[in-house]
Amino acid sequence: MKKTKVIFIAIILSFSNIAEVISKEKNTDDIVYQKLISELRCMVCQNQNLAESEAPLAIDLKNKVMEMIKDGKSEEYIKNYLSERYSSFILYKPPFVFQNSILWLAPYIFLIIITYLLFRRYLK
Amino acid sequence: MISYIGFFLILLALLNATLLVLSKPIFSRITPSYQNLIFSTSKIQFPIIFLSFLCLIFAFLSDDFSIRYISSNSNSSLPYFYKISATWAGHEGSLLLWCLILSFWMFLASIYSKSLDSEFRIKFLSIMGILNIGFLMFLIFTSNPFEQNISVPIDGKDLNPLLQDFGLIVHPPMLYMGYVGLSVVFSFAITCCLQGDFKPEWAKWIRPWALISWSFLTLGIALGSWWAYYELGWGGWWFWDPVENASFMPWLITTALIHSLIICEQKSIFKNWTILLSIIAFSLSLLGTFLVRSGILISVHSFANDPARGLYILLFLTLVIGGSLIIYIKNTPKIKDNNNFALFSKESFFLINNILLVTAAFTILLGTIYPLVLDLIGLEKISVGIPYYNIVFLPLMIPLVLLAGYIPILFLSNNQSARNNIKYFLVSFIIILLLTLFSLIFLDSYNLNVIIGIFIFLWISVNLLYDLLQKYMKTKKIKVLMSNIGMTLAHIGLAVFVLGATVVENNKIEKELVMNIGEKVQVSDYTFFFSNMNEEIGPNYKSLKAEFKIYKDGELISKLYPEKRLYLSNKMPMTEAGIEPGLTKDLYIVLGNLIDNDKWSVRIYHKPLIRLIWIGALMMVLGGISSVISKKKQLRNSIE
Amino acid sequence: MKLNFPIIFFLILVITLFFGLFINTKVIQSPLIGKHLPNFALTKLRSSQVMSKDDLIKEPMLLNVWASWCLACIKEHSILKSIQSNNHIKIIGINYKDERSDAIGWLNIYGDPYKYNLYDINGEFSIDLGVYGVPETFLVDQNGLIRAKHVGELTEEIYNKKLLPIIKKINEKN
Repeated sequence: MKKTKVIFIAIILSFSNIAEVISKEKNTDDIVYQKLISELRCMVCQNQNLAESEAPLAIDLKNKVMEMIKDGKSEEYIKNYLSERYSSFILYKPPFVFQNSILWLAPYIFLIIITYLLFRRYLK
Repeated sequence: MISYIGFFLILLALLNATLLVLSKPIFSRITPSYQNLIFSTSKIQFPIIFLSFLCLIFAFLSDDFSIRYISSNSNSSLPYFYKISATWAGHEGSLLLWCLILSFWMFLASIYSKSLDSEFRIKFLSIMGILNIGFLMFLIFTSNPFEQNISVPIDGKDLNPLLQDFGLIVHPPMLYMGYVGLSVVFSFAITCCLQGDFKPEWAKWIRPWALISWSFLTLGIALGSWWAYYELGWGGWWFWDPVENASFMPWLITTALIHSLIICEQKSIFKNWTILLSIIAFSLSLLGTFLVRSGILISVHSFANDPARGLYILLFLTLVIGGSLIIYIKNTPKIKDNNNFALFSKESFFLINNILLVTAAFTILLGTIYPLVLDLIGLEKISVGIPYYNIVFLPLMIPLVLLAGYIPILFLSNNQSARNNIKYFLVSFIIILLLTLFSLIFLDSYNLNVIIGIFIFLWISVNLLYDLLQKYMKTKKIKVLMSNIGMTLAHIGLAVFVLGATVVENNKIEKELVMNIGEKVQVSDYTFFFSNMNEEIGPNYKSLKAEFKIYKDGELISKLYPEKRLYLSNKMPMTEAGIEPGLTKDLYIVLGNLIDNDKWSVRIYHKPLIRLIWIGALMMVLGGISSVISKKKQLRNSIE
Repeated sequence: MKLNFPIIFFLILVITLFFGLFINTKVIQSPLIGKHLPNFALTKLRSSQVMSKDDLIKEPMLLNVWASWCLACIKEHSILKSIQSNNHIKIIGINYKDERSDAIGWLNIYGDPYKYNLYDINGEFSIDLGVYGVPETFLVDQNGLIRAKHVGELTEEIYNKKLLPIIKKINEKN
């Protein structure tokens, strides 16, 4: 059993080569920009984010977002700026307000309820 | 001419299915050989619809624009292989494909069910017949693929350029094989309800069917994801689009189902729950069909809107699901379950697996439907996308994948004592943790998500491989290897997927910039040199093709050709990404817009380990299929 | 109890989906309704005079976002002209991402119902208005409050049903 373990670890260690390719570039503006445009909805498309869309309005909004990032505005500021003008529809992350509370809470409430029901039914 | 034959065959199929369904209630009173009628009609349905399908293909290949479906989806200059795949490109044709696959599964169910009790088999096939009737009526009354044009156009509108692609040829048939395969499991479950019993042998019988459907679903979803990645030009592989969700929900439930069936067979427990899962799985398939074809949700994937069709599917859905739930509630009290398991036991963990998967499916359903609900109430429209699912869905998956690396070996090992189990857990945990920490030496930065991803990958792969090898070493029997290979392969496939997804999403590099010919830019270790721009003519499009030379450490390693295409019939500009695929990373270039007549906006992506996502999925598919094959071999060997 | 849970859930789902088939999913509400018109600094289309929010006429008006490249704008143009000739309300145009010469030429061909036009060359002001589907029409009252918005081509029916009642209400209050 010990022998197998050793051979095993040796094989697995070779997988560590994969780790070499994992490196991260540090460019904050770009990263924030890419994150934002993937979380903002294209208002004239059939469910695409700004990153994916080539529509004229999407391009304008992407430029606006980049402008605001270079201006030093925060992610939250930019999202608020856009949702004040286009409504929360433009945000792919629904705001945590009263009417969305079920959306955010129901999954874990469901988890608790179903766990309780199933274990009560089947556990003895 | 061909359209009349094709349509006639569909009517014939409807008649045939009706005969099948009426056999038990009506013909049984007339003749005792009604059983033969059931077995024949259930087998002949497939050849009938297959011939009809061939008619449609023939009509496409012969450019028969008198048929509306063909003039809307094809064009004389369309390459012939796309003419064939155009058969399932639109709503009507894909529905015919659905009916075809439904008849095919019924055919298989009919042939392979000889070992089942006769009365059971009759009910089982009759229910499948009902499903056939429902879909054929939908086809005939609202979506006839052979409908004639009032005036015959000179040429067709052409196939949507997005669909002129290999991925989109294979993706729908694979997905449908999965969706429709669940109809077998569904019919089986309903029959169990009607019989008032769910014997462990039956659980054993149905599991391969669930596994094969699951494998096809996995393959179909993976193909869709891969297609979206290289075709849509965003470099994303999953968007949580309603149509994607519609395929993922049945997948999650079917995963829960295959696990539940294992326990059901071994311990004779969770019978009602397994039946319910079978019903839910297929119901979600039907729901998916509805969501995609009714126009109720906004999606790039959806077929053309038609509320009338939506209404029909909704009615059919309500009858089938509602009816099955009522049958379920009425009959399940009759089915006896062995309620006797400890809190720390195999049953318990399998139940947790099911709970997590079902909750995940519920979450996705909620996210998909919620904007609609708010809209109906009159409240502000919202969008639910990636950020939501990352926050709500991902945490559910973490305990699930951790269990996947541990439970398969925990209760299958010989040492059942609690002390040994804890010892084994601690030892493996520490070893994997050490391996993970070791791999960090090679990382530049420490992103917690990536570390967790690596840990999960190692946790599952190392544990399962070690266990498999250990079992083999002990017995030196291929048989032992074979019976476990499916499960091991599928779970490791999951591990590979998790690694790929985690690494690419946390370590991807995306650069958007404006470039002139002759300019270059550095992304990660690579230099991208914009060397050329050419105009080209394709079979049914014109294209602007850019050439990018990619250098690493001064050496030219690749040339990529992102394009902007204008399809002659469509006038829609399409983007073809230039992709350099690799096991360790993908390099990806997309052309944006022409700016100021000589500059181009360009997006360059570096995607580490992204291929592992689809490799992992393929491993899961292979794992599922292996399980079925090895079980069949076991059965054959045990009979001999 | 567990047995009833799936059926209730299913019923809610079906009812939702049923009603969902009949609603128009394309209309997105504007969060600017009830808020003040955002400020701006734009030149007029036909001159280089720079206008700001305070320069706007202190009476109710329709702000119509249009462009010479927009096909639907041609279709709604006759309604705009009839509104202008009936003198219900002043119309001020916002020329969106257009060439000055193209826009003026377009007005020469199709007629000019606008009191004047603001030239929003890069669409900045339109972003502030949350414009996503040209043509769009805003109803603004004398205090600069946005009272209503319509996205898409304006028709006589929509004008009469949606905008006219509010215009009447505003005029009554004066």
